[in-house]
Amino acid sequence: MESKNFTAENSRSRDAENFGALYDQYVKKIYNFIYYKTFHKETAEDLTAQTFLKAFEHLSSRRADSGKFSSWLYTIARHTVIDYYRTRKNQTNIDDIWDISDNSELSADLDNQDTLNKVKKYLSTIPSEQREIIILRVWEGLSYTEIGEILGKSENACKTTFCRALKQLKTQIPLTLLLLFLTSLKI
Amino acid sequence: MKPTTQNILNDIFIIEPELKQHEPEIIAIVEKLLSEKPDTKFDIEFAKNLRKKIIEKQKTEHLPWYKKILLPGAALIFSGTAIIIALVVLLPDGLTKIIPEKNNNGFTNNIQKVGQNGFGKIAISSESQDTANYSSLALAEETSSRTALGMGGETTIAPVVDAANGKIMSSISMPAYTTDYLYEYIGGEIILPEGNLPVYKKEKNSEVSGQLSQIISGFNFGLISADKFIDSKIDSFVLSENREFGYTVYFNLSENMVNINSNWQKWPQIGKECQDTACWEKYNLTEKDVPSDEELVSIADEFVKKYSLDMSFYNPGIVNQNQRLYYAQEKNDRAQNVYVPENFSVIYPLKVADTEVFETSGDPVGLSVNINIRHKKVSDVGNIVPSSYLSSEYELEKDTTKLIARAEDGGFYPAWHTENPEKTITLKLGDPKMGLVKYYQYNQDNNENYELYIPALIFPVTNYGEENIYQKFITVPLVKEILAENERQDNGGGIRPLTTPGTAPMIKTEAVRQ
Repeated sequence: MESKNFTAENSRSRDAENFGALYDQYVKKIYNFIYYKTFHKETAEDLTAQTFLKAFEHLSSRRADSGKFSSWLYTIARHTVIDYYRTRKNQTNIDDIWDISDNSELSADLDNQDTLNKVKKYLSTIPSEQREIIILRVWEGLSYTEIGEILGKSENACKTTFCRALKQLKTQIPLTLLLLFLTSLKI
Repeated sequence: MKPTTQNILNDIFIIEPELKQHEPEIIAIVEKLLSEKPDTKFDIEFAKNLRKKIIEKQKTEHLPWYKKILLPGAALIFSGTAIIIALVVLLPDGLTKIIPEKNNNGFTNNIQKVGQNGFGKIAISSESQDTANYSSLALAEETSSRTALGMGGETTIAPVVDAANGKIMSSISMPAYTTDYLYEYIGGEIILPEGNLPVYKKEKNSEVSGQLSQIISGFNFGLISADKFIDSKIDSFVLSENREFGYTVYFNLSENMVNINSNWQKWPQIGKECQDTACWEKYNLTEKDVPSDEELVSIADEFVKKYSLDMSFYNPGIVNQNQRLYYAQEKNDRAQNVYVPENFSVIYPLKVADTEVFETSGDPVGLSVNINIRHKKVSDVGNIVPSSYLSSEYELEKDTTKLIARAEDGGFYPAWHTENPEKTITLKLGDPKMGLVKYYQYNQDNNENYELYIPALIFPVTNYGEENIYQKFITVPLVKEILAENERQDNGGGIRPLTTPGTAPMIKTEAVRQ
C-alpha cells in the first residue's frame, strides 16, 4: 500500500520527510473513505482536511510503535467522522451516516441519495466493521492486505469477516430481488 | 460476470468453500453492490488547495525565531535599543539557524500557477534600448563563469606604460583568432513533450520587510525618526557573528535572498605583515593543499546541516570543476608559480518542480558554498533562495530541426566565426536533456529585472576536454518567443572559445598612446 520507497518500518522521521508524497498518495483514498461514511461532498472535504491537518500536527508526536502510516491516517479519519456525527447529533451511538435511522435527517448529496437509500436497506443491517470491509473491498477495490493495514487486522481475518458479511447480506437481500437483478445482468 | 466480481469471489470460496453452493446469489450481491457504487465526486482542486494550506502551515511552523516574531499579530514591545539588538546577532554560539529552516515535510516548491503567458512578453528584444542592461547582466554572469574556461568576450589590452614618464614601454602582442569553432549535433531524434510547459518566475516578497518596518516605525533614534518616513520598509539588514571564523549574514528582504560571507574581521588576515613578493609567496597554496572532491562536499554538507539550511529543493552537492579546469590549464601552460585558488565551490543544483535549473552556459544554478581550502572551512554561501514561484505556460517550439540548428549555431548566444581560419575545431553535441534555464525578464516600466526559469534543451559537448575544448554545454531555449528573438538578434559575435596563449601564434600591434 505504501510507496515502494518507504520501508516497512515507516519511522517518524521518514514520514515527516515524505509527508508531501504521502499526502498525494492518500488524499483521494481518505476522501473516498470518508465520503462512504457521509455521502456528502462538502462534509467529506471538510473532514478530509481535518484529517490531514490533524495528521500533520501530530506527526512529530506519533508513537514509534503506532504501525504503518496508512493505518494511523485511516484511524484519524475514522475518529474524525465519529466526532463529527456525535457532535452534530449529540448521540454517542452514531459513528457515521449508516447509523442514522431517520432518513429525513440524511444530508446526502442529492444525486447519491437514491443510491444511499437503496444500499442502506441492507448495508446498515450488518455490523460497522463488516460494512467497512465490504465497502473497502467492493467499492474501493482494496486488497485484503491493504484493508488489514487500515483496520489493524490480519489479511485472513479480513477475508473471514468479508465472508461473514456476505452471508449476512444474503439473508438480508430478498431472493426475488436478487434473481431479478441477476436476470437484468443476464448472468 | 465482471472481472472485479471474479477477483472478489476467488478468495472467498477458498476461505469459505460452503459459499460455493450459493454462488449465484453471492455473485448477485457483489454485482449489485458494484452497480450501486456512488460517485464520490472527488475534486482535484480541493486536493490542491488543501495541499497548499498544509504547505503554508508547515512554513509557518518551521520559521526560525526571528521570522516568527515578525508574523502579523505578534505582540511585540521593544525599546529602541532592543530593536537595534534584535538586528544584531545575540546568539551566543554563533548562528545556529538560518532561514529557511529545514523543510521536514517534503513538500515540493511553493508554485502558484497563473494563466498562460501570464508574465507577458519575456523575450528581450534587441530593439529595446534596455537590451544592454539584460545583455550586460546576463553576459556578465556568463563571462564571470566562463572566464576560467577562456570563454571571455572582450580582449582589450591596456598599453604597458612607464609610470615614471608616461611613455609606452613596449608593443603589445595580441592573440590571433586563427582557430574557428563549429558545433555539430551527433545525437539521436529529439522527442519533445506534448503541449506547452511552464515558465517559472521567482517571487519577490517584501511582506517581511513591511512587517519589520512597522515595528520600528514609531521609534525615534535620536538623529532620525523612523515614523517620519511614509510607508517605508526595511529592504535589507546584516547580522554579524562576533567570534573567530564568524560569519556575516546579509538579508535582502526585497529580493528575498540571503547570503552568508566570512566576517573578515574575525578571519585570519593572511599576509597582512608582507611588504614584498617573497613574503607573499610563502603563503601561496600548492597542489597538495587542494582537497579531494569528496572532502570538499563533506565540508559543505556539514555546514548546511549545522546551520539547518533547507536543502529540500536541491540535488546533492557537486564540486564546481571550473576552478580545477582553470588550475589545470594554468599548470599546463606555466611550469612554475601556478596559482592555486584560495576557494573552491560546491554547488547544490536547484530543483523547481523537480526539474534542475541551469545557467545559459549549462552550469547548474543552485546553492553555492565556497570553501576556503587554507582553513578547510566554508567561507561563503550564496543563492540561499526561497521556494516560491509563479508559473505560467508559454508556447514551445516543436520543430526539432530548428532547435538543432540553433544548437549548432551556439545556442543562446550565437557563435562567432573567424574568417580564413588556420584550423577548425568541431564541438560535438550529444543527446540533449530537458531542464530549466535561468533567464532575466526586464520590466521597462519599473526598471526591474525578474528572474525566470525557462524550459530549455541542454546539449552536452561530448568531446569536451579534447584539444582546447573547454565548453561543456550548449543550451537552447524551448520557449518559442525567446527562440525567435534569439534568431532575430545579431549580438555582434557571441561568445568565443579562447585559445590558450601557448597554442596560438601572436601578432604584434602597436599600442595606442593615450
